[in-house]
Amino acid sequence: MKPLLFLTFRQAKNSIIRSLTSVKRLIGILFIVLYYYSFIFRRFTSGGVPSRFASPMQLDFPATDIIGAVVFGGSLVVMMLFWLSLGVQRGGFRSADVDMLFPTPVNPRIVLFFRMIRENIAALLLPLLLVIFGGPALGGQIRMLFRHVPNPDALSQAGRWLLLAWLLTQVFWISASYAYALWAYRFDEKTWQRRIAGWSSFGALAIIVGYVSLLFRQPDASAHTFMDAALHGPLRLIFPMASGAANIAMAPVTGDTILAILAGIGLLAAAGALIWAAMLNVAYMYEHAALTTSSIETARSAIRAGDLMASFKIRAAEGKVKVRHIRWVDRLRWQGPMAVVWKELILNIRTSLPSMTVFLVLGLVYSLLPILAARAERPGNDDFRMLVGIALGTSPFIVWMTAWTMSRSGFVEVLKRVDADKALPFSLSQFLFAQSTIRNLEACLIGWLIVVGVIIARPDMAHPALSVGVLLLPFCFVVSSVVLFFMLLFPDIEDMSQRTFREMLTLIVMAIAMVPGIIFGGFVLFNFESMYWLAALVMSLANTAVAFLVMMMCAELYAVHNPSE
Amino acid sequence: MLEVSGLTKYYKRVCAVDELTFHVNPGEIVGLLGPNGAGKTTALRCIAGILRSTSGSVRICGNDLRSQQKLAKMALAFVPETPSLYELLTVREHLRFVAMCYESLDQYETLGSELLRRYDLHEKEDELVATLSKGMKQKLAVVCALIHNARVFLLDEPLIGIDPRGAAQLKNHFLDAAHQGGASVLVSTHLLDTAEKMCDRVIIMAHGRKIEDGTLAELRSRTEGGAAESLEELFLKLTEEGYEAATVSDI
Repeated sequence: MKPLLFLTFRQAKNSIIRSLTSVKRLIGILFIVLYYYSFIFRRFTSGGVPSRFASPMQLDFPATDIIGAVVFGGSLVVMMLFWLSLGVQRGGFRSADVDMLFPTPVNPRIVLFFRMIRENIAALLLPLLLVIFGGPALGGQIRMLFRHVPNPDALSQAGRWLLLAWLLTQVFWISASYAYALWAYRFDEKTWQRRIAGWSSFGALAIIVGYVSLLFRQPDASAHTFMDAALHGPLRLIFPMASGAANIAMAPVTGDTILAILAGIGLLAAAGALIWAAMLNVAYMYEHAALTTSSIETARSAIRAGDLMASFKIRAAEGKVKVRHIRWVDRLRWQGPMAVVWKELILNIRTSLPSMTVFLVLGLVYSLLPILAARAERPGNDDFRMLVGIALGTSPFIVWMTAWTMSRSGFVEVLKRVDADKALPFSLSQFLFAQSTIRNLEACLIGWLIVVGVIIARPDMAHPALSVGVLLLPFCFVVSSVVLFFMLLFPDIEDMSQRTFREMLTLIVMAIAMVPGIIFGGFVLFNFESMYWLAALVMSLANTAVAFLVMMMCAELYAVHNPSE
Repeated sequence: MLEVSGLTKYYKRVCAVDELTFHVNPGEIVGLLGPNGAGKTTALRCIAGILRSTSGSVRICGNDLRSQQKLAKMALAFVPETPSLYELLTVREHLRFVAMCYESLDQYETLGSELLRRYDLHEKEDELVATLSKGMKQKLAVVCALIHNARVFLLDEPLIGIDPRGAAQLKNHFLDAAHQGGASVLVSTHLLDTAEKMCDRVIIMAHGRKIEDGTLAELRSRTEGGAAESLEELFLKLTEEGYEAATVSDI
């Protein structure tokens, strides 16, 4: 155990020191700390949310029953959350563990036990966060509710028993997840076991949903029906882990400590049996980790970096991707910087179809709904103008979201692949423009399809709709250039603190970068009221100039960017 | 000292290592050669206890890797190909951690500084591993393998990314460890000239199977090669890739 403790504490210490000695990381951390501090500080100093129940509540049910029903409902929710994550492979190992720890004589059982303890400690943070964020808001109501129970002093004990119930529940489920993972994920055996977690959690959810639906369908269904079901219904028997946890948490209210102790012993015994089962299969742990760590790490770092292509890369690495050639793309004979555009075209056709579809559906739904509503309105009418504004505003909004997401994902590769890309025989600014062109066109394609949808649904709106269509491409270039600028300025893409800070700055500067276009376009609209196309053209020119300027600055930053620094 | 018997490893239905049997004697350096995908790394990972073999046994210094895992691993050191290290530990902390795992803190205190100096890592000893270059990380992985009293060394492409000076030191170190210290060294490499100079014997794998095992002279006699035939030429003859390459060059 000593080497593992040493490893954990030294890494934590070094991580903190590293964060405090890097200016960029420090700024990010300060930003996060200030943000959360102000949030918590406001909560505490404002005395929490004022209770709606200043005077004793008028309750339709005994307070004990209300608390009991709420606690059991909460236990069911917690149970389902743990159950649904049962099938998620335990991905906590890293490549360094595989290469450096696994070949050592440290007993794998100790490694497993240590990991379980670490996860349990991490899971304990959740109730702490709930107390911090939810405590002040709910404190008043809870205090008031406890005035109605036979033993009002129970409140002082309730927190401890609730924490104990949570602790035993998480010990049970974390043990279950390890026992299950080590039994089900054996790489050289058949894999039917892996479906058990999914099907069993689905079954549990179906039982709960089905039972609640049945209650609703009862002709005389009332609050009494649900209260009775929560306190004495069949779910308490079907899910003993949830009712056991509820019994422990309710002990100070009901005074039934014997039942709570029995429930605690039951949960602990079950957890012990699961740990024993996990230990029996510990020999598979290293293999499981060795074969999955790489893809899990790739996925994790991709999520941190906002890389949409990651899932595709992982599937490709596992040999699950079939490459389809598209003839018209193969026939293109683009050279120079256009070769980069060609490469991005292929990559994007292969990888971004799912996200494009989501954005397109969202855009069409949100723009066509107001259009359909506007059919009854007359042109010139205020309601009509508002609905048209909403419909046409959706297009740039969706395009903005798409361009931002896709740019971030695409530029993650640019930051990593410096050695190959900087050696290409054209200027860095040309390369960066080429790199972002296809993604911007993709984002615009969504916007243009929305515009087409609007024109088809409402042909008399063709003029403003087409004007919006003109705006989109320069607008996307502004978005992508600002995204790239801040990615180059804060290039540690996996660092959480830098990412938050970078995203915030990106958002602010995007808004600032749009100001010249808005001023010039607004000026045109102010003077030539219905000449939308002219305003769009002027805005586009202004946005192009801004994008060009920012991209030049990006090229300067990219020239000195070195990912190994 | 290292005995591998009938080692087989399946990934689902794919056989990565098929009935691999060989041994490495004390004081011997054996090269594990083979084209890409031959199963060398999988075999080394099974021997190191990272992967669980489907069947077969591995004995290290007489200890069975499954039933006497601790004793077997205590005698073993593994240098993986392009090793992943704990980036948030300093160089010295990393070495210390490995020494703790092998219960050889005393040796770390006496030998640690010397090893770091020998491999030009002493100036970086208080820096985070994350700041090291690829070659330095490789050197650190080697140093970590040397910090305890290993009797069997498994080296998976140990020279990749290491500068010539470091590579020479490394070769000499393992030559000394084997020929003077009596350690057994199993080294997987694609550098055939290095293998020829360094190894007493070579095992050639293809498609998960051992296709040859012997000294250079034995391989020459089996393939009816001349006395001047290099390991590279023998390797190309013995593996499928070799026949294809030879055909292409003939054309």
